[in-house]
Formats: sequence, structure tokens, C-alpha cells
Amino acid sequence: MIIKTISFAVVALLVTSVGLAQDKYFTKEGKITFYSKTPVEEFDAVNSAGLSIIDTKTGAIEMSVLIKAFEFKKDLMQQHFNENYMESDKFPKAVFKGTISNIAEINFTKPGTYKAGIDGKLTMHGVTRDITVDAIFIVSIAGVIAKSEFIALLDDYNIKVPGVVKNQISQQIKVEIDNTFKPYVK
Amino acid sequence: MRKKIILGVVVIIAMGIATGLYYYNKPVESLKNKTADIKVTSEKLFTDFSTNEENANTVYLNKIINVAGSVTGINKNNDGSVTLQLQSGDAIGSVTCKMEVSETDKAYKVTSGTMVSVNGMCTGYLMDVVMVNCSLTEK
Repeated sequence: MIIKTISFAVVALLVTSVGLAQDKYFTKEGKITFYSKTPVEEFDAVNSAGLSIIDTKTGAIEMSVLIKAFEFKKDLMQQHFNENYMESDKFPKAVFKGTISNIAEINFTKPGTYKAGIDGKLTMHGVTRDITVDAIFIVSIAGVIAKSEFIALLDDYNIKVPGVVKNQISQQIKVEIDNTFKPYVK
Repeated sequence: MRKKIILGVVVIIAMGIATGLYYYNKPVESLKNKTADIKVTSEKLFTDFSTNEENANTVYLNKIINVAGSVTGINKNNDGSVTLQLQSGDAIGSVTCKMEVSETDKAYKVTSGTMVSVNGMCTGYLMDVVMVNCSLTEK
């Protein structure tokens, strides 16, 4: 009876710790939202098909999104976004490649909320820029949730807004990331 | 006489503004009843992208695609909509179709292994071929 209990406990412990200690985490349903707010107009666009991988050993984190998969409420805005601003025929993707700078402080085997800093390169509209963002990682037995919020300046990525709509689109776009990662199983 | 002219001009301007507002506020159209520019199987769509992404982009982006394939997955998204996964012939990637909100109930009832045809917009290739604005069609 005691041996059975101990064996069960050992197996249960192994299973949970293995479940938590994964080298890589992955999602292909990462959620990225762009927000623009001016005194005249407010709008957002959501992309729920972001591809992202975290390597917990190296701290490497990558994310790719397809520009055409951003969904707007208004058709005309979605068209202008793709054809005029992002020129998504020429530049179909936005890619981020970076590293979690304080990876040693994040324990992917211990459930909890961890603050993180991420340094990397964001490539959008054909322009690559170094960016540093704050993020939080919420670790649980189910997986890892990563959330981050930062501002992207249209000028930084050569995104031109015509004079006619200058008052409707902010030069500073708030970008929100909300990814739910699962362990990467080959 | 002058009053009539002014009234006429005001009416024309009002109509112009109304038309402008209509187009400005028009939501994204459903592709359900539109004729597809290209009909393709999910396997071919995936193979075209995985072997030559740049070429596939010029062929498939900005067009209404009707893709036919066997359903390998039905997922409910966080926003309440449904994404259907179609057979790609590849072990890792698939063709994902984010269904329009109005298609939610219908799409959720589809069972794995069923052959379906879907109208949608192809947005490109990451690990899967990603289609959005999708709706089930007859064939």
C-alpha cells in the first residue's frame, strides 16, 4: 500500500515536472492587435494567426505575422492598410526575432507571473529596427502566456499616411501581443 | 427658380456625402456567394506555398480562392469564431481557414474527415497556409 502510494507519487511528480519543463514553446494562433487613436477616429485591427516560438534554453523568441491576416471592422480601412500603408503585396510579413534578456529569471517549470525584457529586431514594411520591449510571461501547467505592449512609430517603418487621412490615423500605433503557447512537440 | 437650384445642389451634395459614408463604413464583405477566382485542393495550395512561396504569393494573394479538402481539425478561437484545418499532405503544416462569424454554427458542426469546399482570402504562408474571411460553399 505504502509502496503503491510512493510509486504513484513519484510518477505523478515526474509527469508534472516533465509537463512543465519543455525546451520550446510554440503557437500558431498568436494574437496581435494594432490600435490607433486620434481625436477624430479610433480603430483597431486584430491578427489571430501569429506564429511564435520560445526557446527556453537560449531565451530566443521569434514571431511572424501575415499582414493580410489583420482584420478590420471597415472594409475600406483594411484595403488602405494593405494597399497603401503596409504595401502587403511587396511585404507580406512582419517578423520579430529577439532574445529574452533576463531568461535566467524566468522559471518555466514553476507556475507564476514573470516580468521580462525582450531585445530584438522588428522587420516591417521592409524596414528592420532594433527594439526593446517589456513583457510578462504567465507560466502554468497548461503552458505559457506571453503579453507585451509597445508603441511603433509609422515613420520608423517608412509607412506613409496621405494628408487626406492624416487626422484619422495616429503616427504612433499601439501594438499588443497576447500569445498562448503550448509545449512544442515534434 | 433660384430656390429650386439651391435645393437641387443640396440634394446632390447630401447624396454624395451619404455615398461616401456608406463606402467608408462598409464592413468587410462576405465571400460566401462570390465566384472564386481560383479553385484548388488544399493539398495543392499547401504544396505550391511550401515549394515556392514567392511564386505562390503572386498566384494566390489578393484573390478569392475556393479550396476543397478534408477537414483535419475544428478549433474554436478566443473571439468565438471557428477555424477549420484542411488536409495539406504535410506532417506539420496545414491549410487553416478562419471562418466568418456568421459561419460559426455551421462550421462547428463539421466533423473531422468530411470533405468541404471553402471560399476565402489567402493571406500567405508561415507554417500553415492561412486563409481568412472563409465560408462554406456547395462545391
